Amino acid sequence: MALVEMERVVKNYSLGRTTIHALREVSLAVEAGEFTSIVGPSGCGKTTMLNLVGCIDLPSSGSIRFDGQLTSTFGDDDEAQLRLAKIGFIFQSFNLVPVLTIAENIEIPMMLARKPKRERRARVEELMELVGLGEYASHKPDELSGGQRQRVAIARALANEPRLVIADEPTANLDGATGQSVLDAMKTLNEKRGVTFLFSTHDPRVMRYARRVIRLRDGEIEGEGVS
Amino acid sequence: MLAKLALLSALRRPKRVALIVLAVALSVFVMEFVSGWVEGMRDRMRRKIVEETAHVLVEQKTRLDALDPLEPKNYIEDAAGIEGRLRADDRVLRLEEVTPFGGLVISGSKNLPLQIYGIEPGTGFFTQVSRGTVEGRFPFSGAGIAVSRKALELLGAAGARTLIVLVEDAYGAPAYREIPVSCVFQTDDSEFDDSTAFVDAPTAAALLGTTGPAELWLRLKNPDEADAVRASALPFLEEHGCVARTWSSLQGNLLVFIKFMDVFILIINIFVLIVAATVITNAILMNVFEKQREYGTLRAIGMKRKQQALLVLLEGATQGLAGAILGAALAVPVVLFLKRHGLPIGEASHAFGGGDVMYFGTNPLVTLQNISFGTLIAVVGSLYAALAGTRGSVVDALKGA
Repeated sequence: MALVEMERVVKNYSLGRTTIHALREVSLAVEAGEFTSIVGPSGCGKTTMLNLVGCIDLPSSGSIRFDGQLTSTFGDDDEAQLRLAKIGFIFQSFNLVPVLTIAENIEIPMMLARKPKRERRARVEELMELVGLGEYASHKPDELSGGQRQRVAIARALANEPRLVIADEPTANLDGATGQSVLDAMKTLNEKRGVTFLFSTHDPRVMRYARRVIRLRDGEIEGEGVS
Repeated sequence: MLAKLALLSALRRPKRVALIVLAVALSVFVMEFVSGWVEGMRDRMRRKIVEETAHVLVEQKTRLDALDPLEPKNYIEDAAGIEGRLRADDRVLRLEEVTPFGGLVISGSKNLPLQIYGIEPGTGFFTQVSRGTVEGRFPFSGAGIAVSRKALELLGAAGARTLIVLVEDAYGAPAYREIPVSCVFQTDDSEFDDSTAFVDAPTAAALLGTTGPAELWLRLKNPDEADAVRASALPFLEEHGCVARTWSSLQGNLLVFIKFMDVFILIINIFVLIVAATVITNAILMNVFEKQREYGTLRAIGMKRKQQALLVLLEGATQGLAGAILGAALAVPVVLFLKRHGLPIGEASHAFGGGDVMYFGTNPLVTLQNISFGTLIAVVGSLYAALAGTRGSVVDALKGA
């Protein structure tokens, strides 16, 4: 059974009298352990697709299954619980909470999952070491570089040991070298820890990292390749 | 960590936090000021009930509806016997003979109608008069009259050593007597200052031509037992043609007024709540809308809507508590000052049973209640912001919409 199964998923947005067809009957399966990239030009539906897989948006029609569960019919709290337990998010602009320290930012998902404090602290230390930010625990996000912040976001995404990490343009706000180091970190996690990654990009250099590349155009899967 | 997040998030907008804290502080200040004022009035009335008047008043039954209460039949005949029986009740703290009557106080060509009380030399009632004595002594021994400074001024008799009291005696004949001024008082109670005088019991009896008192005033150890004391004494009193009334029926108007004050405080508090909550709602709403993206992120990583709402409420409650404590810290010294020195508001305070100066009262429980109420204002103000902030989808929140 695939980790994610999208079946003829349609997503339309209404803008006044105009309807935007963001996704048109998209079907896709993502297996556990994959390192998959969704690529395509701006406005082709990459973010919409990730939002639907990540249960932060609902499809107009079609069905989405995550780990065997039909998520497209989930209620609000069920969706939140699924995201908390099984999905990690990495955002293009990092989206760290500016008033909290790096350690606290990483701790938030575990706190929401009501994990014991001792366990949380140990996990935070482990994750900070994992992303190479061990000495920045008490720093605030604005004291870190873009690449470091994205590493914090990766650590936060991994906090509750999710089945899937979704990354929307994770390197778009980073320079080439920094972006590459972030991708290296993601790739390492995928290869050594078996974390499933699904990320979007329109940067050809980033695509090279992916083992599977899905090409979107005008809300439809144009094709896919395996490297 | 939610609390820390709420606090730190709030502190990111110091001007807005200051606005909220000040709005709450001002509300609590107003509530504390009004409470202190009302508590002062309540204290005055409570004192009036507990210290100034009888908890149980005994009089002849015929006096209740008499056209002329000064008639001989309206005085208590066997006062000594009744007093002995009433004193045997260990719930009774004090028992005094009191004879109220109307009289004309005359000095030279001027006269003033006053309510005069014939009192025992060592009376324990009318404590306001003893506290407000400015010349002489109260209670006084021997023959004498106690009048207010205001009455003397109206009579043009400041410094007079004697006054003439003219009454209609128990038989309907005029009687008068020149009485030495033993005490001049000035209370903060217009009822005493404007219309009351006191004479010693023998002078009252001599003026009226009576042998017994008109009333027996009982002060009890516990005023709340007045009904029980009355009930146990009533059969015996009825045998002597007497009736007894308790302070709750004698001071019914004051009790209604005290209850009205509670409603008055509630109305003021609701008004304050509406005004302050509007300011706070707007300020917190702006905070919430500015942090939509942050809330979107938190919800994307698993925070539930109700947790987000709790976060906003916590933010409001933290600021509310800070404002409430600040408001109380500013108001309590002011109220304490006004409790000690009073607030001169002229004749307006006469309407509330006081003199020209309004003395405030304090009650720690009311202060705590006001602090809680202030915090509640902020929580209520945050409630709408919390609901509005959690209404949209995660995607919209992430876009900052």
